[in-house]
Amino acid sequence: MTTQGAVTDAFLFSMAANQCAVFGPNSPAVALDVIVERAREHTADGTAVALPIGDPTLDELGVEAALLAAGVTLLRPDDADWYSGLAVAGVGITSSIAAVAATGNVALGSGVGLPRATSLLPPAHVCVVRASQVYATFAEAISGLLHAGPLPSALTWIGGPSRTGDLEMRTTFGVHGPKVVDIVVLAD
Amino acid sequence: MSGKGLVTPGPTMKARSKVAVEDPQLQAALSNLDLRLFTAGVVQAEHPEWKDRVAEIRRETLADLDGWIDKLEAKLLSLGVVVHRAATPEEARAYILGLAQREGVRRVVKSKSMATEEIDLGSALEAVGIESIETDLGEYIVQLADERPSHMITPAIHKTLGQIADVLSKEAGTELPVVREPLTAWARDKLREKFVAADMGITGANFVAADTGTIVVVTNEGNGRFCTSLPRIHVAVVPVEKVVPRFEDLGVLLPTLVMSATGAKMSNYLSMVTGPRREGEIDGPEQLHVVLLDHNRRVLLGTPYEDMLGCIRCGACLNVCPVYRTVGGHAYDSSYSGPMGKILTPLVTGGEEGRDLPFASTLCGACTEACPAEIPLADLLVRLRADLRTPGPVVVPGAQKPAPPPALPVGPVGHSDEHPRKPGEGFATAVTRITVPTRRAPWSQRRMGFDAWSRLWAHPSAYRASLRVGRLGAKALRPRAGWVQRAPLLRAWTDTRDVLVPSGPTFRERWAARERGEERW
Amino acid sequence: MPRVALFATCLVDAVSPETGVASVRLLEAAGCEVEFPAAQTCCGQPAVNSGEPEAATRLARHFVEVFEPFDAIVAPSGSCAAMVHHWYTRLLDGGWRQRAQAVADKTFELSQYLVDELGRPDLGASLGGTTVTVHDACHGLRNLGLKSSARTLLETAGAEIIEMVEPEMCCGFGGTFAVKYEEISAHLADDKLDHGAQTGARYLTSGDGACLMHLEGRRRRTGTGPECVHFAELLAGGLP
Repeated sequence: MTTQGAVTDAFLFSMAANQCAVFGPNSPAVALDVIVERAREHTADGTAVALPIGDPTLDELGVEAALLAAGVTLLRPDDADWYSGLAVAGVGITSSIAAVAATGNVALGSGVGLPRATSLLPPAHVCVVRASQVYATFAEAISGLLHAGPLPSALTWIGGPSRTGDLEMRTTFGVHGPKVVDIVVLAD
Repeated sequence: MSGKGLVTPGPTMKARSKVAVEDPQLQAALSNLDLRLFTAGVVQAEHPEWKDRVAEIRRETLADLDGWIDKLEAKLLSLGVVVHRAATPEEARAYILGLAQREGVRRVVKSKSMATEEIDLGSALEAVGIESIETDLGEYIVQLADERPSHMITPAIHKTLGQIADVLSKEAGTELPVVREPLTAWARDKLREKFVAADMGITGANFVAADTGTIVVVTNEGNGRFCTSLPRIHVAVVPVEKVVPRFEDLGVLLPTLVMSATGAKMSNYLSMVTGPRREGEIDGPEQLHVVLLDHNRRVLLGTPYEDMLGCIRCGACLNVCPVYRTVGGHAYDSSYSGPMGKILTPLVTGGEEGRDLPFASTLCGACTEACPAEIPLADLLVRLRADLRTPGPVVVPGAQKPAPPPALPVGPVGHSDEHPRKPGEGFATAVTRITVPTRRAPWSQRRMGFDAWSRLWAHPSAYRASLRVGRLGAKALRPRAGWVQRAPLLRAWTDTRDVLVPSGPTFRERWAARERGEERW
Repeated sequence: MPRVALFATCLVDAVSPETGVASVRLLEAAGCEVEFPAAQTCCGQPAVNSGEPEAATRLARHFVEVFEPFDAIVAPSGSCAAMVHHWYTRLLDGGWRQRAQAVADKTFELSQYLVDELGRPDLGASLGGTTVTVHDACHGLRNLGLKSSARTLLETAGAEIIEMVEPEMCCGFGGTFAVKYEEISAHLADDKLDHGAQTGARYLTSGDGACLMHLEGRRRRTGTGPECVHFAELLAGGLP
């Protein structure tokens, strides 16, 4: 039997191997501090933080209030200039709906207030992962998501920063998607 | 077929191979494949149970492919997806072009897909004035170079970094450094403009789950995410064998695919698309179209070539193939190269193209060993060599003349349920299942030669006589025996190798001499 | 005393009888009584690989008829033994298929027979000081599962085996492929010979005479690579 703690550790190890910055597992208070600190660093040049609306994990942590208190500029999906703003935002923050230790990836679901592009257009992505949602294997996660309810219209799995092997088969980062991915694990 | 599609007019694989072997740049680029050589064995080493499970799922699917297609279609329709069944590349192209024109599409972004290569979609779009941009970096490079991909996972594997920099510099109008990061950064910015302005995203699908209607697109770069997220229309071109019965099957299929392809535990991105954007969502495609492509695939069901439809396009057979590693993908002159390409090309083109490809193999069996879907690739190559003696399609459709496909209404939210479909109906080439080969091969020179030879050598006395004749011939033509540089009738051998000309007694003569006590071993 | 029918193979019979002689000496050193059924010809592999299964079937039937009376059939070629194992049951039908299966069940490649079947890796051969690199010929490797048996024989005789990179990569012979696609074939031979040369071994050996004839012919043309010799000849050379 693997304990959830061991699975979480393996997950953090896999994500780090995938060239993500990993944080945690943290208490909600510490996780919030990390999120704010990362958001500020990615927007140090005055760019905005793209934040979904109605994300249960982010709302529970109080991410919006903390970011506003920290004085960063927020971009929300209900803003009229969401898309043009997203193209120049410094970071997108999301939570995940599942994660996998063995393969090292997180799953994001689309939804109302949870646009697909939040984790795609900005050069950095901060993803909050609940430790209780980390599965040991990909097969277990697939099965878990299927039985958790209707699949979202877009279920996106992310391993780390965008990469390619197309140039003489050596890995090169930052092709289309985010160049930086921060993983913040929330102990729950 | 025209353009850079499935097959371009050109010389034989033999002629193309000669060019490839003598191209120093290509040889330098192909040496990078060494990095990937051992990926094929990773699945077997780390998860030996996956291979059997994958093969089991694929066989289960193929055993009732039409049934799974119907289930998939019903599910897709319920999600508001528009489904079009295309029997031929022409039908698939016509549907997509019609849709694009009706919707006023001016720019298309494509995510790397073997199926759209097979139907030559990019050229067809360009021909009607629609800009079509390949967004996988490697595929973008070959598009700019006006070439075709040479590897199904790394399309520009045939190019050195210097050649890639040249191609990108030409497009940039400025000289880019021969360094990976700045080249990648330039392409990122360039393609970002294209994504934002595209009206239509076109992808293939690595798998489509019948029970949930989920389309899976695997990438490392994120271009698949762009193509399925930003444009208002998403079209997925899905060869029929991509269907898998259950979403849960992806739990083993995807890790096996990725590990066999690159050796990595998982690809960087997986896009799982279940229907178009839903009410209240602000991104994702408003319209999602799935084009189910048959193109001579279903006719293979129930024949020994059915196994080939189990292929999951991982590229492992290319990476381990001595021929592929020597000549690269372009020598095959097909969208599909390597061992799987040698089999699939003549099959899906109905025997019109690639008939010489199955002979370009040493039959070493490395492909069979590497295949995570347990397809007996080397055996199929041998079988094809025999079946291709008969002109025409490798597998001939049954005599039963199929009914013409019903005219399918096309609308923005799925075609109506007023057209319930019987299993398999809707593909113009619906056929009865047959077993190959049942047709008599014509008497070619080769067949006559082997026939005569086998008749002769089925008789020991004739065999012995032919050995004696061979000895006499060798003696007459080559007074000196042993290793020689040239010998009559053996030029194809001696152009590259010395040949051993025997002169002494045969083994059986020596055995007889020993039996008589004339020789001691 | 095990009675063994030697299937010399047509190539050994016609072109490299020394391999056959060596095979007999090794089998006898292992205590076998060797017979050579004079009616044997060719296994038929060139035909099946050329897309002529009807011709191959004719020779397959002949092989089955010639060899089915014997307890064991041994060939100094993994490829020809693999033909019997892999293709005969796929080519033949009905009663012939059953007979072919029975023959395949007692057909062995030489090293496989000596090591795995007889359990006699020590033949009394002495190859001390000899350095060898082994090419895993494809059909023996992948259809018969041969990997260690030839190495075991050589090591037991005292030879030092120096493994080359990619010992399982095809040498490029491939039957008629060698003359249809001679450029690719020669390129692959060069890779193999280079890999062999990198080991510094005196000999490059294998269990298939056809691969070796191709490699040795190329070696003599280019001057690169170790001398290519069948393992049976190396071992027989070390017998007292």
